[in-house]
Amino acid sequence: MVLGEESNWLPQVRRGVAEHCVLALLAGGEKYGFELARELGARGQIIASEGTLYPLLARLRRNGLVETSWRESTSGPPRRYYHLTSGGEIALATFKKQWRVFRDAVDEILEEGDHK
Amino acid sequence: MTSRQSLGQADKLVRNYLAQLDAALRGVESSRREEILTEVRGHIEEGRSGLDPDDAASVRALLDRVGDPAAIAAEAGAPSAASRRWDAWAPWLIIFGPLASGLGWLAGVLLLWISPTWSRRDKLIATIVPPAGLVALFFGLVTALHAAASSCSGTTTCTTSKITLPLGVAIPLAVAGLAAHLLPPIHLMRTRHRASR
Repeated sequence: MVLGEESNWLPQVRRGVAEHCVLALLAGGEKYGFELARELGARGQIIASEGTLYPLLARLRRNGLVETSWRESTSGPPRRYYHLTSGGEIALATFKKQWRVFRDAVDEILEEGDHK
Repeated sequence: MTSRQSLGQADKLVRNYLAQLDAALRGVESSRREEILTEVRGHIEEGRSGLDPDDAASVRALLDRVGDPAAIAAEAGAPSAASRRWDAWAPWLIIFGPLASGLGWLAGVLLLWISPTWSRRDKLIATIVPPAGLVALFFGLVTALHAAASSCSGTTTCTTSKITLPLGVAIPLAVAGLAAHLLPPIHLMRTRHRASR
């Protein structure tokens, strides 16, 4: 593995992190795919492209972390709304704790490197 | 009129994109594939309702944001193109493998089962039916020849064989055997062709 190129490490980190970012976005209430894709896409880096959100959502649904319900829309096709299950809430809470420890550890190491 | 023209063009872009995505999702379990396609289709419709839906340039930009179908397929765990590179061989080996040597057939069946292109059902049929067809073909041919031979000579000299079938049964049996040997591999070729379009 060649270090340093974005294409090597980012997709690997994304894989686990993006799922939990989706859970976090749903913590405030149900959302439909397009909405989620735009929110994630606008921040950059979290998902590779808007379309990659949908396999990810399918996976979350299959793993029981989100559930969906179809709702009519006034402006377009019917929308599939995603909302957290209790399993999803637990997964999100666990991730939050672990992510903070992980992030702090990485920051600390990077800063130590800077001071040398 | 330009608006009419670009309406067609924008629709065509979307249709092409969805067809590419559908092809890229080959090998993904079908209900999951359907779910992803429906969602991406809905996403594009939703996106188009927020902009001038007939403007080809803005539809192209929308599809760019949705992203490369291959990336979506990879996220969905679709098998890579590498896992399909032997697909073309499997049907031919299943047809001609048994005639050259049993090993050829075995290789064909192996390639068939490791490929993600075909369904379990197609694989099962293509494994079991062609050999059974071949047996029926041989049996039909041998008994047909025998029946033809014994019909010309007397009953006392030609009753050496264990099993005899009248020509009217032996020939249809051989034909059915040939069909059973050829049709499943031909079906594999057609499925593969359809999937790779």
